[in-house]
Amino acid sequence: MSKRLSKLGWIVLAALLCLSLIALPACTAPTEEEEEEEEVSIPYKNDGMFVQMTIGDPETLDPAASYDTASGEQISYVYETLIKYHGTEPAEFDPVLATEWVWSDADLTWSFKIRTGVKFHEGGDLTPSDVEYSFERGMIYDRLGGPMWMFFEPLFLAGEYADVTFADVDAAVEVDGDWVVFKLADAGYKLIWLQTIANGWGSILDKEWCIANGEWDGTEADAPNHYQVEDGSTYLWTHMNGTGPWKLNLWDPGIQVKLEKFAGYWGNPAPFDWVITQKVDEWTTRKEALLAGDADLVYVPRMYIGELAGIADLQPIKDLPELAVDAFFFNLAITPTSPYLGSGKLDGQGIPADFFSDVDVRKGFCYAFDYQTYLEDAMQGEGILNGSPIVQGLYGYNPNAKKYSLDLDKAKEHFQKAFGGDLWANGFKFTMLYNAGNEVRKVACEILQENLYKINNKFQVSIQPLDWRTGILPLIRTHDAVVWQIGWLADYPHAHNFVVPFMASYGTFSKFQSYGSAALDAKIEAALLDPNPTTQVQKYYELQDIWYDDAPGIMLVQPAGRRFFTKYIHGFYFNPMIPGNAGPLWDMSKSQS
Amino acid sequence: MELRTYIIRRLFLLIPVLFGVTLFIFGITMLFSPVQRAMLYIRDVKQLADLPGVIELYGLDRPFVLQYGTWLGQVLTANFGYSKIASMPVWEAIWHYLPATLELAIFAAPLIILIGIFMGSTAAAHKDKPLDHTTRVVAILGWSLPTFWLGLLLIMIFYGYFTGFLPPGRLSMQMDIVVNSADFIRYTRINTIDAILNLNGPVLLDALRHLVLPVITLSVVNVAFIMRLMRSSMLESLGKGYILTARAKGLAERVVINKHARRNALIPVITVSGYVFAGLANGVVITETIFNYKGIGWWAWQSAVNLDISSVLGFALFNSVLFVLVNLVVDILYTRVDPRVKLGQGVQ
Repeated sequence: MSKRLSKLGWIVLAALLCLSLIALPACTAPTEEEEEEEEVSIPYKNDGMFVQMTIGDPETLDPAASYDTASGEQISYVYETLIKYHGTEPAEFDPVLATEWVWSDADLTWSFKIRTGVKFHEGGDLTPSDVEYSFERGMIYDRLGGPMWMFFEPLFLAGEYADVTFADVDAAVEVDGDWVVFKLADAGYKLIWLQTIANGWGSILDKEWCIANGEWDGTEADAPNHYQVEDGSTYLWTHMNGTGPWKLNLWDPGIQVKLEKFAGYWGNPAPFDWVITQKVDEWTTRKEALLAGDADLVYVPRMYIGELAGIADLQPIKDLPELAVDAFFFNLAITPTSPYLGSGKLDGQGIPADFFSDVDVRKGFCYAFDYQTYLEDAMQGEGILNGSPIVQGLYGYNPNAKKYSLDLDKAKEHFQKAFGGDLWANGFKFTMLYNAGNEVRKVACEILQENLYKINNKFQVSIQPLDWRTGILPLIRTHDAVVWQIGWLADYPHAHNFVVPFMASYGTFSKFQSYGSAALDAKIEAALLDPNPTTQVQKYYELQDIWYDDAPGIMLVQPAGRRFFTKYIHGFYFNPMIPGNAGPLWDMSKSQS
Repeated sequence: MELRTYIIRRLFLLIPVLFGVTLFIFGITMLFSPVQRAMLYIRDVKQLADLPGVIELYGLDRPFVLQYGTWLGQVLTANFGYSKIASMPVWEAIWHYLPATLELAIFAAPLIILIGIFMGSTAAAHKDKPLDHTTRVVAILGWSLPTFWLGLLLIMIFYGYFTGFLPPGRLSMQMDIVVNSADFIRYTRINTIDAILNLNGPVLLDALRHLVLPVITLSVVNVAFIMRLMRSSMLESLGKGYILTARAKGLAERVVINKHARRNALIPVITVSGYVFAGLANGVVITETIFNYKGIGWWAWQSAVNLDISSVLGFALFNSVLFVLVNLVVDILYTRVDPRVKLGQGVQ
């Protein structure tokens, strides 16, 4: 047997070696010095097109069903609302399909004058009855888990269609000549209504086109046939016909959405001939596409931001204050059979189901968390540490609100008081959950775990990753989860949209924590309905103090956003209520200069 | 047995296979609670309050037999359910995502098989010589490389380093617009074939450019399997009496190898080649994901991790049919390669 390699063998080995030498630098993370010196030239490509590569895929194209960012983004380019947010402002509006709007204190009505000469993509003309139809259809459909609760609350002080009648819906939105009139249930919703309808769920549809394609025919008799129907069964789920600057060319689910310029647009012509949003799951593929000029914007996970640092052909857009916040939530009434309780007793081998009902336990946890390390290490310094659910940028935000900081002595003090001293003597064990793959949340769990152990080595928390949708969310729903982390993203930019989920007895989070009370609900309502801005702000301040005193969770960070556009994209500005990463494409442009 | 009778008999066997497979998969998915399965319809914690309504609307809390029965009843009326992941009926989703995967398989499978056969027979003909060792080392190296690593490496080199040379995806933006325009007829949704049928050279070249890296990745990773099988099969053939006779007759070594040894060594390779093609055609998740070449594998994977039961069952049905058909084709091919093999009777 020959011990020597043939000529071919040597060639192959040499080729492999060369491949490794080329690959090695590509696989090694650049040092900070290298990043600063990196000179990557991004070529100008795809003139007239805006190409975005991201990880989200629209769930639906139906404005009345859409409640996710990826869907909302496409809807915002194709459909139009009566009004839109003015620039970066959360409470000022520009006319779109309404040319003017008037509030009546006497009638509690908002009246909108409807623009004339507007064409739908399929050729129909916009009329006030299209507007009435669009809102009524949304409420009659009332998709399970959809956004329509935001209509029912201001119009009826109700949560869903089942709480009202067809006649109520019919009467709440009326056509009056060139005007459409909305009757609100309370003046407290005056601003919230404008903020609500400036979003995608307030999109205007072509009534005739909808009816011709099997949607609700506008009558009471047909309404039950369209109430909470199965996902995917509406025509609008996959088809679009708006009045916006772009019309739908192709939705290839899981792959891409392609929009093309609408030649008959009533406003300024669309600045891009094509708007293409591709779903590209792999980060390296997205990154290389950006650097090759094939994408104008890509989604960058926070952990990979460093890989794009120092590239001169990318625009450094950062510190964008998102209207969102992440928090740990304590479950005050855990299901006694939860598998995450250990022994279910305060015997050092578990925790009782009412473990977090003791405020000293909760405060001990709040003081045991290292907020600064979390901000710097997990969030890479990109965010604001918040003390309460109301985030910076919202009316009612208190910059001087009390907030917890790391103080192990104070934590110890509270733990020693909890459960009459038994907790300190016996210690505890339980399992904390985070969604698998979310490294930021994992780091938060580890920080808490380590500090608790430092305080008392009988405080032992294990950490378990679980799938977000099939693991954690069901456990929250069944009250089995002990402590969990979730973020909240604004539906509309108002403090009410933050205090309700965090503090109301019926709130999205607080309900599953068994936190909240009738008294607290009354305070939330009083703050919302207070017509005096000065006292209203004080009421929101008070709610923030209550959150601090009750400590039902550990408030983490309001994230600051980043965008990675190539230098060829111009005109981006940030309004957190515009869905998606690309922003106001109608005001943006692309050129080589 | 007559070929037609044999095919009909084998196709009838599909019915119990499909029933068993779907029952098994449905049974496994039922191990998840209704709440977990309802999560398919929930994207956000904001929607949690409506979970009971979702369970009721889709009947997720009904007994196993009822749920399976309902699904089976739908299938018998050609309704395979709705794919939430694909936002279209399951049957449409299969045809929607299959062409991309088929395109990969059409280009990668012949390459894998031909290179594997060539390398295997060459190695066997030079047994224990440097060429044999080198071939085996190269093949094993290829087999050992993780697909995601190799894929990313190729992207970094041929797309990143040589800016934009061999891009991921199926088509460039411009060609994608052409393909989706009214002037371009999508006969098969397989871009290369459609480009030929439309006599569109730029689309064909663009599609081929996008195929290079994923096909190389699949080939490098899979070729070793065929190569090793071919080598051992060839070695077995070369030890047979008829090879000795052929050599004794004074036939040239090339003729002995190509005409006598290789043909007989091909029989096991044909079996495996069928499975290689079927394996590629039912989706190559990692390659499809890394190269953004989304096909049926990507769809099935997304459906599985999201507990999209209708889609998973639809994919299982498709997969079963594919494998049964591939088996059938392989059996028929046997009879062509080895005349001693009779359909339904084995070797005579």
